[in-house]
Amino acid sequence: MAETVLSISHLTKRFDDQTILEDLSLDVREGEVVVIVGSSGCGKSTLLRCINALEDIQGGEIRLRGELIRQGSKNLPEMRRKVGMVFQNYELFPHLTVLDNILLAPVKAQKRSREETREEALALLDRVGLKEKAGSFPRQLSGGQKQRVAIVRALIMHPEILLFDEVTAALDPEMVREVLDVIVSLADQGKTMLIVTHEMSFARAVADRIILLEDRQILEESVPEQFFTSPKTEQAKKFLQSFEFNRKNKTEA
Amino acid sequence: MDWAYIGKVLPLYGKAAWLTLRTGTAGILLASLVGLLCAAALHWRVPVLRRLTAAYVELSRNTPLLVQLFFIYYGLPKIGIKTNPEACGIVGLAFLGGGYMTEAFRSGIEAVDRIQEESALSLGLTRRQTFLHVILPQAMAISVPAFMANVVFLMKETSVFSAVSLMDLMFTAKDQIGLYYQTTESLFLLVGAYLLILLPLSLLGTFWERRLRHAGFGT
Amino acid sequence: MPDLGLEVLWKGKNFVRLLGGLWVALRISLIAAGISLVAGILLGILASRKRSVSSVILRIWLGIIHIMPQMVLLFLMYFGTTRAFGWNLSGETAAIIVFSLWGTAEMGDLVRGAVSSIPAIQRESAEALGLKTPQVYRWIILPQAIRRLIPLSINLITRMIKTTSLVTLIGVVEILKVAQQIIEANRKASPNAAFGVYLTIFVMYYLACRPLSLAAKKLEKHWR
Repeated sequence: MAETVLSISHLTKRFDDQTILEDLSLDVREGEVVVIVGSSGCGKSTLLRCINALEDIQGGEIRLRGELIRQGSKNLPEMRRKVGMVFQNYELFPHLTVLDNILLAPVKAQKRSREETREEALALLDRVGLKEKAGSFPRQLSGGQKQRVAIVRALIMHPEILLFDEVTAALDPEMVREVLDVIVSLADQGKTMLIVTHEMSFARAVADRIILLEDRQILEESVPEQFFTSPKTEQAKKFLQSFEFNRKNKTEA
Repeated sequence: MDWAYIGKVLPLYGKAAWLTLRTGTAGILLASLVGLLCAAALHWRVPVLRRLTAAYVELSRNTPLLVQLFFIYYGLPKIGIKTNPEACGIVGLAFLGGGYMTEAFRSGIEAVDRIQEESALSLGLTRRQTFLHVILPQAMAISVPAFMANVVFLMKETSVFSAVSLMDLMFTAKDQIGLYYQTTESLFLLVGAYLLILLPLSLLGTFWERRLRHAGFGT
Repeated sequence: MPDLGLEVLWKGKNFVRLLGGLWVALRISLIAAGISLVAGILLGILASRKRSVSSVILRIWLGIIHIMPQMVLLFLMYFGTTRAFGWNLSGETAAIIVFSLWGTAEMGDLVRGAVSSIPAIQRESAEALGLKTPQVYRWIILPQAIRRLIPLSINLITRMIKTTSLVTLIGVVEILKVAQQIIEANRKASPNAAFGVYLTIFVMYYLACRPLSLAAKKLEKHWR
């Protein structure tokens, strides 16, 4: 069995007096793709933000290859470099070109040489079909292109794990595909990923394991085939039904 | 209009305009520096400094420059802090302008989305790197309209410098009216000189703002 | 403790005289503010229609007011009218005229901005519901515009109070002038009076302006 990359144990997250996540535990092994689904506001995004210590946590711990990730620790920037995160609204830096967006963190934070990193950045851009956009500014790109740049920006850090936070939710329908294709190809390359999404067919295709997050906890955890065809819990059935529409009085043709 | 008279006193007004421009520019530069430091102190929530900064901003924005100048020029020497007129004008303008510039930069910094900061942090940049490379450049671009409005406003405020016996444009015009009763010519030269200083500044502001808006910053 | 020259304030009627001087300044700004509010609202509503004559007038008027220092405008009014029309305006009258001209233009611009900042879709959706134009203004546009307007108008009044300090330079006997007289009269007895008296004026202006700007800030946040 592959080594565990990310280990979350007994995580509790509260906003004021509202509990978002309670006593949640989850392990992700090397090369595994875990997809988290659940209704809006169930805390999926909060979970990802906790893994990057963008949220303070009220209980439990999060470890990456055995090392603690938590707010206020001295090596937090160093730990964050090992966790790649892609946001719903891309969050490219509007004042920098595509290339400078990608190079900022490796050059400033990892102190890698600009020349060598530049080569790698261009190669990665080429792989997502955006090599000719290296000198463009984010405002000149479509949403799908921005999101692919954001993925490259995370990849260039050589992270141990990639987090995707509803990365297609802000996209026009015709651009969803180009972004999801990139993620699928990353899965094929054996990258370790934790993905939050509402795209069920994508989830089914890309996931090694599907997790249903509901009522502050993990309610169901299974391989995609099983989750979509014979869900174990009532909540999972209800959740899957929310994607179906039925008319009662349809006239037969 | 007595053109011979105008020709005779033109060098006088030139000298006064230069003084206005010089002290105004020095004061504005100093004010920008003060504003930047104060905005940074507010952003970083530096414990005691943050309170002091907030108090300073309120004090400078809620009192007239003329009163600030009188206090600096006539009041402070009594407790041993002496200034010459020019230094007093510059310091006064920096005191007033620092408050306005702080507000301009602070609201620029606040206008940068919090998630931009998070996105930089998630890439492993330190807080300092995030502030320097991600927040500040965006905040500066957002601040340009407010900054330029402040520059024009502060340059106009220099018109009270004559109250602390700086021989600026107002001083010269008043002096000439008193001496020779050449009211029309004096007022004409006064308005002309201020137009020469302020019109380009104001146009520069509009131009710069347009260019940034065209570049689509903040979207 | 060094001599801060504060004792001069309690001598005779000095403090009351200072307050009287402040009142002269405040009176000028309040009269000008009153005129500006009324005239500015009328001008602003007229100018809120795009490409109207009044919107052009407002823009030119604003351009002049924005580019010239208020001190220069005061000079023009005070010395210029004597020369051009033979009027002998008192400093106070000249100041009220200048500040009203200034305030009306600024207020007009604020009103124009507030009215035209209401998105067109608001008016359209109200009309789609069958409301008539006066009803649209009464129930949809004005309530939204006024919320934006009140904090901005308060700020304008605060600016006006601060600017009134300039009138001392065209010979109006207000707080700074009274201060000079007090300092002059006590030159021997309290050589350090300048510090105490100007500090007091500093604080007085702060106390006059701070509550207003605080209120504006609160309202702005509250109505956002």
